[in-house]
Amino acid sequence: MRARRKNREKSERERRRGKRHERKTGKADRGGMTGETRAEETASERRTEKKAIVDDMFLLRDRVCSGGLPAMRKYVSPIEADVATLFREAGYSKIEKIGCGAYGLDLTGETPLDAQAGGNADCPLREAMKDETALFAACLDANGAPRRAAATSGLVALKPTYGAVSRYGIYSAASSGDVAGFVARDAKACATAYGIAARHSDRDGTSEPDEAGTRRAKAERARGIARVVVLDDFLDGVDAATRNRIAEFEAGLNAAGIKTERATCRLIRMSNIPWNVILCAETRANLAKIDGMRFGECPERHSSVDEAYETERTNGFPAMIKCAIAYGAFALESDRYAARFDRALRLRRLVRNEFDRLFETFDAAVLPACSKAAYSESDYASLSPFCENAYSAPASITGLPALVARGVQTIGRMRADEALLDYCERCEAMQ
Amino acid sequence: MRYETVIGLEVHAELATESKIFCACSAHSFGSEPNANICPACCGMPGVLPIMNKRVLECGIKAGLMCGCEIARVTTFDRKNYFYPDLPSGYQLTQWFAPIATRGCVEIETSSGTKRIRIKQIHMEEDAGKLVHDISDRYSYADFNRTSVPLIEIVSMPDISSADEAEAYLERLKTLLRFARVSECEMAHGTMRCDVNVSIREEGSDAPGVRTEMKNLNSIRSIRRAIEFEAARHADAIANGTERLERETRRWDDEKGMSFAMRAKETAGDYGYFPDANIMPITVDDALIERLRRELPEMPEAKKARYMSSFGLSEYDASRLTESIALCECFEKAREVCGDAKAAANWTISETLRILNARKMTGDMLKIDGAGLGEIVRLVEDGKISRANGRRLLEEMFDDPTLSPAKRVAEEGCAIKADDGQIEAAAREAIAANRKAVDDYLGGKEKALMALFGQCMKRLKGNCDPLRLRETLVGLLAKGEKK
Repeated sequence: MRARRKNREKSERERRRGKRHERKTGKADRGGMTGETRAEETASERRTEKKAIVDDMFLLRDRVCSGGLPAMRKYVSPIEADVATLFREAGYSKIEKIGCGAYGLDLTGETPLDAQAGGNADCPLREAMKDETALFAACLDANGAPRRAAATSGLVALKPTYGAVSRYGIYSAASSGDVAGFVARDAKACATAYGIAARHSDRDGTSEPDEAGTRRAKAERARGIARVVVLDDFLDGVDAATRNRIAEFEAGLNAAGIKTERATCRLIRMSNIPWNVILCAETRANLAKIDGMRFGECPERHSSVDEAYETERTNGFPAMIKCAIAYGAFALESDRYAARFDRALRLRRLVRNEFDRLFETFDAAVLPACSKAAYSESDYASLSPFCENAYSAPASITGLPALVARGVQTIGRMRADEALLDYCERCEAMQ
Repeated sequence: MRYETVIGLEVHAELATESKIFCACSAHSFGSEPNANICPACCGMPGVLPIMNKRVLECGIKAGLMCGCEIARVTTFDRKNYFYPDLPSGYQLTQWFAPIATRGCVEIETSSGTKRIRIKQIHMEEDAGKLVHDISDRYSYADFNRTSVPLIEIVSMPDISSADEAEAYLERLKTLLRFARVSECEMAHGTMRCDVNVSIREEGSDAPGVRTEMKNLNSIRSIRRAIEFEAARHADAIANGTERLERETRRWDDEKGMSFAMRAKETAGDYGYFPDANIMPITVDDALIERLRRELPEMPEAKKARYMSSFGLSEYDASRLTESIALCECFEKAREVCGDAKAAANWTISETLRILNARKMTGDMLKIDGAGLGEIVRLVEDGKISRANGRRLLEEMFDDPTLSPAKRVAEEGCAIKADDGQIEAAAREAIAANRKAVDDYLGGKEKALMALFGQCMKRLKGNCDPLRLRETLVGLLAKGEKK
């Protein structure tokens, strides 16, 4: 009896703290959350302790944070990610960690296989979300892993606009494309996570100022998504189930009064080629400092510093990461800089221009999130994340927001994150 | 065959900012405990991001304006990737593709007249840490206090052709950067370092010679010696075939007075430069440039000319004063308060510089209020306090820059109170009591007067106008007071 009263009091305290935070920051309505939905959520808050999940690319103070790298498995972070801090301030007092695959760059992190589609049911993110207290998870979206995970697991994922959410306290992979993404059971939960985390941070120089961001987001939300283009050339090479998903999605949009058209755009289709150059070069530079000598994983036996480094680097990075480092170094060599990295930067601009051209006519672009509706065990051995990212790279390289719902990806204009979440709710309704 | 030396200098000047370039840690670590001024950002810990210090940008622009450079309207930071234990992030943030200032020029005075040294570019960058090897035989230690301290690198074109010109160029840069309060440029404190590129070629030829670079020279003497040694080594190698010249980076050993090969010269490709995505491109608008231009002080030459023409100072005095902007400001305020330019200049040059030297400080470290100095000068010139007391008050002002001289004089009661009668009485007593000194003086020993002067001062407890006392003593002795 006494324990129940104590719990009730604790929930009440947290509810008040949440209210205070709302008043202080004036952020209640962001992320498509209305006063009513807040009230509904508050009722559920009273029942349970609120919990958020972050993947291992997010640093939590005084916790071991490895970024999925054996080299960092003893690293205890002295800092906390801004996203985690905002979650805590919003009353999500318990932050749980899930794995992130190989430095967040692999196929689906550790959130893969859809049991219903015949895959492995061992999906930590899905499993974590079966617990009703965890509404959402924040995962680094550097190479599209959370989007592919959501698409193959029946979850919703949002890759916010670059600069909308602070990257402070997250392991850097590809600094010019890294975004804190959100994965949730539904659009509302995703909107809650985005509403909490989409803030300017003085600790991230690429974080957009609140005033400018809010103004643009409001304008995009008011404009809404009424006309969508399906990028036809992305349907070459995807499996039949994915093609069906797109067709069904398109029909659903039409039924919901959203006009659709089909178009091809080769430049956008090829955007993973420059993205892989940028991704590998930036990851290589960001990983240069990661060595167990400094961060705790020094080999016990070594006869020289060289040997210690060699052992530690051989064992400290997964094969895929070594591949990225090697390719990144190759792309930056002086005689290849102009032909590779510099050209990749120019192509990035052209891809962005191509999107801008599309968005003159349409409000969003629809394309698959990955080549398969669900990955099988063998796909993990045979599919390379550097090929499979053909579907995630358009949003990664341009910094545009992308939303995955019902296994289909929609890319919107800069700062159209909330418009995409509203649209996602409509998509859910048409189910 | 006659050769000419071709020299290009890369000067690194630490910027006079309170905090580091990409974090809030103090940038002043000279004399601090190792690793006292560090944070996760400057230690390259995972998850932290660089935040640009606005003051660094302003200093970069000011340096560019002082050197007559074109200021970039969009400037970016790039990563220079190399592995070394003193670089915790694994790359240095510098400006490779779009430096803040380009195409400037600095004029120097040489034996054959004024010479223009072209500036290729000025870029901002972060400093690396420091490795300490002499604590242990087994380990080297890393001190990250200096990591991320802001620097500008001023890259000259190879327009310098002798050690003398290199020295003149460095002195000129020091003056310009100090005047703009961009850097203290104190080589002894490591706030200015220089990489020297030397080659030689046949006189009159345009063909470039083999260039060698010597890094991190931190005194003008070392730079001069390194240039002279390297030019001679090159000439010997070419003329006598003593060795094969390679394009390389060399280490200058000041004790041995020789340079030693370190490694083959790095190229841009070795560093894998690429734009840093964590720092957005910085847009520099006209309004900012104009504001900073307005903030720039009068150039040293203009100031010197004005001091000579308006205040009637000698060229020597004007030159000494314009060695540092802080000295200029101190003098100008002192002159305003005391109304006597010559006296203010004398006190600034003789007394202020004396104290600075005694305290091993440079003119730019001067913190005293020029108005306070002016007050002291007025009190001394008006005969209200002795010169000795004036000097003492000035010393005290170095310890407490807020000290008010007039207030302190009133508190201490050290104002000159003795009237002519008291001075005369004291002089008579001193003459009567020091027969030998009187005889010596009258016998031609001028110095003996100082003994009498000291005795009088003792009797008056320093409370008199020294000029008046001297006149009284000389007058009494001339009248044969000894009798």
